[in-house]
Order: sequence, then C-alpha cells, then structure tokens
Amino acid sequence: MEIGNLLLMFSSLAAVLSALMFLITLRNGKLGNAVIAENLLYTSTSACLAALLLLVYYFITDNFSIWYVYVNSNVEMPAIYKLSAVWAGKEGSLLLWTFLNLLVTSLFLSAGKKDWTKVKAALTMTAFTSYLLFILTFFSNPFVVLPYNPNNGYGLNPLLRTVEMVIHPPIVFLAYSLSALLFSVILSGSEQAGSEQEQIARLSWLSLTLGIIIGGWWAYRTLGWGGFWGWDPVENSSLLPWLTLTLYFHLRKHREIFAYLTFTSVLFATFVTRGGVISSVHSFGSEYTDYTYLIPLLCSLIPVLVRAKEFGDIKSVCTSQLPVLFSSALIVVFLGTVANLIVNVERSYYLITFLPVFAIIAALVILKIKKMNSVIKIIHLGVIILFLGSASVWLFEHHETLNLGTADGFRLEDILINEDSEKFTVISEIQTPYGIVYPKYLIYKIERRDRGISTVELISYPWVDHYFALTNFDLNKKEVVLEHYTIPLISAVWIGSVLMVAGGILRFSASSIHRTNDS
Amino acid sequence: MGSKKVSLAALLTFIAIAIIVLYHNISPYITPSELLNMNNAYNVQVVGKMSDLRVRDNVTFFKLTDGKAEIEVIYRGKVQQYDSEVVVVGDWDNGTLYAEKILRKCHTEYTGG
Repeated sequence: MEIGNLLLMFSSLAAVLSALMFLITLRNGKLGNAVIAENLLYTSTSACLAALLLLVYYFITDNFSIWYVYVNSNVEMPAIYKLSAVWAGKEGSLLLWTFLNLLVTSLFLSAGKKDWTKVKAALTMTAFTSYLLFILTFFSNPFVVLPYNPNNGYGLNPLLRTVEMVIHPPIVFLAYSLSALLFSVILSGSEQAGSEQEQIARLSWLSLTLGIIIGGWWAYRTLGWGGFWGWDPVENSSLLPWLTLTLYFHLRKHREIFAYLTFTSVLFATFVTRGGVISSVHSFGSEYTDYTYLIPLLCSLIPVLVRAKEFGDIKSVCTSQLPVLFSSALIVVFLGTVANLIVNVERSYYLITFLPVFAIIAALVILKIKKMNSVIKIIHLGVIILFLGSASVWLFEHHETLNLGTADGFRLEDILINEDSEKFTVISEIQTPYGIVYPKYLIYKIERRDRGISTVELISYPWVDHYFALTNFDLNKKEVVLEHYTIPLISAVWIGSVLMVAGGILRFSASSIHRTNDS
Repeated sequence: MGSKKVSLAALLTFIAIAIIVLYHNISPYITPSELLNMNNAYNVQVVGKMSDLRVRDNVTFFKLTDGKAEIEVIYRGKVQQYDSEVVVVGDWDNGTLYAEKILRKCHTEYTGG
C-alpha cells in the first residue's frame, strides 16, 4: 500500500481519537486528561506533515505513477513550480489546508496556559479537521497510484507557473484555518479569552487581506483573468469572509455573530471552489457536484441562528449605519456569486450595486479618519486610496485590440522564436507611443492542450499603466495582434493595499508586544 | 427603536434594488443543443468543450459540444484548444456561431482556495 495513504489514515485516526479524548475530558471535568488528547493532536499533525512532505518529495522526484503528480507536473518544470504544483489541484490543496488546520490548533493549544476554553476550542477544531481528513483519505486522495508508470507528466497549467502560485494559496489557507480557529475559540465562550481572540482575529484578517491582494496582483498580471478584481466566483467568495471579519472589528456588542459568519463564508468559498457547482450546472457527464462541504457549512450556521435575535442590538464602534452598509456589500457579492453559478453576471451589476456602497464607506472613513490612532489611520488611509484606485480602474479602463501594421504609433520591430527544453518562446519587439515592449507568447512542451500563454508587459506611470499582451502572431508574415489596456490609477490599488497590510502588521505586532508586557 | 426600523428598511430597499439590477445584468448560458433549436440568436453565451480545431488565414474554425450535440464555430483570430470548458460569446445564424469572444470559464482551473 502507498505510504502516503497510510500516513493519511494514521493522521485521520489520531485526529478522531484526539477529538474523542477532548470530549471525554470535557465530560469528566478533569483538565489533566487533556494531555492524552493533546498528544494525539500532535501525532495527527506530524503524520499530516509527513504526508505533505512525501507529496512534495514525489513532485520533486517526478514520481508520475502517482496520479496527482502526473496530472499537475512534468519533468522539465523548474523545482519551485513543482513545489507549488503540490497545491495546484483539489486534493493537494485540501491536504495543505488540513495540515494548516492541525498546525494552527497545535500551536494554539501549546501556547500559554491550558484552560477549558482551549479544550473546547480544540474539540471543535479537531472534529472539523477530522471531517476534512475523512474527505481527504476517502474521496479526495492525492496518493492514488496509476496502474502504470508514465514517462512524463501531463503538465501543470501554464497559467499557474508563477511565483504567486507558490505563496498565494498557503496564505489564503492559513487565513481559512485561522478563521476556523477564531470560530472555535469564540464558540468555547470564555470572556477572559478576549485578547487571545483578538490576536487570532487580527492575524486571520492580515493573512486574508494579504492573500487576496497577492491574488489580485497575480490576476492583474495574467491576461484573461479580468484585471486585479474580475468579480469571478472564486474571488467573490474570498471577499465575503473579508467583509464579515472587517465588520467584526468595527462592532462593540454581539460582534461574535460576524466571527461565526466569517467561518461560514470560508466554508461557502470552499463549497463554491471545490464543490464543482460552477461546472455542474452545465451538465457534463463527467462533472459531479460535491455536497460534502455543505455539512460543516450548515453546522457553522447553528451558532449564528441561535444568536439571530441579537442582530437588532448590534452596536458599532463607528456609526450605527456601518453594519447596514457592510451587510449591503455582503448581500450584493453573495447574490452575484450565487447567480453566477447558474447564469452569467455582467460586471455592470457590481458597478451599480457594490461601487456606491464602497463609495459611502470610503466617505465615512474620510469623515472619521482624524480621530483614529496612527496605526488604525494607516489601514483606513489604505481603504480610501484603494477605493480611488478601484473606482478609477473599474470605470475608466480602456481596451483596444491592435493589428500591428495598421495601428498608428505602434510598430512591430522584430519577432523571433526561441526554444529550450521546457518551452517555445515567441518574442516580439514592439514600438509603442509609450516606449518599446517585448511581449512574449510561451508554448510549453506538455501533453495538455492549453499549453500556450501570453505574457504581460507593462509600461507604468504613477497615474496610468499601459498593459500589453500578444494574443496572435504569424511568424512568416511578421504580423501580430496586440491587446492594449490603458488602466488609470491602478497604482492607487497597490498603494492602498500595501498600506492596509502594513497597518495590519503594525497592529498585530503592537498588540503582541502589549500582551507580552501584560503577562 | 426608530433608527433600527429605518436601518432595516434601508437594507431591505437596497436588497430589492440589488435584485432588480442583478436581474437586468444577467445573460443565461446556453448549451449547443439548446442553440440548435433556434434559427438565430444574438449575443449569446454558449458553454461547451472545443474539438476539431482548424486554422485558415487567421480564421479559426472549431466545433463546440455539450456532449449531446455539436455546433460549428467561426472565430476571426487565433485561439488555442482548451481542455476545460469555454464560453463562446457571439451571434448564432443559420447553423453557425460567429464568435466575438472566447472566454475560458473563469480561473477555476485552480480548484484550490
């Protein structure tokens, strides 16, 4: 039997037993018994880490008899992308997420004094992670072995061969694990967990924000992904937990509801991306819808429903209308995402509904920013700048497709093709009114048919980006088709984003220092 | 109490507006089998998988299938054959789909987070 499978089964068994032992400890009322549960948790974490490292090893050593490696890799791919290919598919990314869940729970449990809050939170986390491990072992297993040993892999999707692919998924999954932990800690209901709870919330906001921004930067530099924010269901469903978590920080009373909803949104995102609902509506025989993630999603709604009557008493630290504004934004994004599963939703829907809400929020921030302390001010300044940038890009972006030879001011100077062991590269040299650019078209030597991608070339000014990509070429006639986007104030999107992350880091580290002084 | 009611009313009004706006900003995806039952249709979004790709003088011809029926598509420009589903936006006229845009179904080929 495949070692990876054994490790996964061992990890699952240890996680289930750990959850059971946490439950028994709670029933007995003897805190000392938690030691057994704790050690089982560490065992499960170690086995899961071993499974993850084994999968990395299979990728690095080109073990194509493992189906998952075959589908997502090929010999010629650089080692760094082989590493990122570990989480390029459904199975590997679930393994990564499961490991991060276990890691976060282990770190949480081992830090500081053990108390009942920790035991209760660890019970919720281990129970949830056991469920993920169960799916991973039996339905979404990355260690399925092929009956033969292929010479080369099918090849990773060329669009995923980027540095962003190495860092974006782990950061997003870390945020997802932390929001599960936040849910669990709040559910365990201790008042004294206040500062710890706040730290977890801040760290999960920070990683979620960073993850979304890296995703936006990646999407911006990829032709056909709709710019830094394409209102695609996957992006939208990561915006939902961001909105609920951001609102959480702005509430004074009954804010727990929005911490619960953050985890519910995370599970909704998981359902949207992993459930296959996006494809299944188009009724292909091979596609199926996976409803397994709906079970934890519905469970996570229970504490929200129990406290539903408190919705009316929610108090904000800002204006009393803030919860209404954020709820509006949430509902707009949620409706659009759900509708997008069945029909195509035009971008104009979001411009008409989301942008005005964003504008009101930005205006409120401008009114209140004077009274904020310096760190909070940095984050909110980021929000204002991000708003200006987004609004400018969404409303004033301009696109033209140019057939070079006819377009004024654009000239194809040269075009040639190179070959290395991994791919063919078509390089063009194009004179534009803004300077010379060298857009490329890469054709990877892999089995999969979607093997060609356009690279994006940018000429950036502080107020505008000129964005070029080669989408068509004829080497004999020396003709190319060039896509040209004029994107005003995109720099504001990045500056605003950096300020938000910087503020988030300062806030997290400031409160860490504060806590150390306290204790 | 009063302000709470106002907030709730504002939220409900907003949701109502959002639903109306949404209703006017959607266009259904059509499958090739559904399209074959129509004589002509403009600005449709057809979902399917590509096959039999041919390129002649900068014009691409291919077949789009939903597993039940297939239609002929003509696209001015080059396009590669994708393994995953694509959305073809264009006009359907007398048995041929004249594509204006060919979109890959969002970037859900990354099935992670």
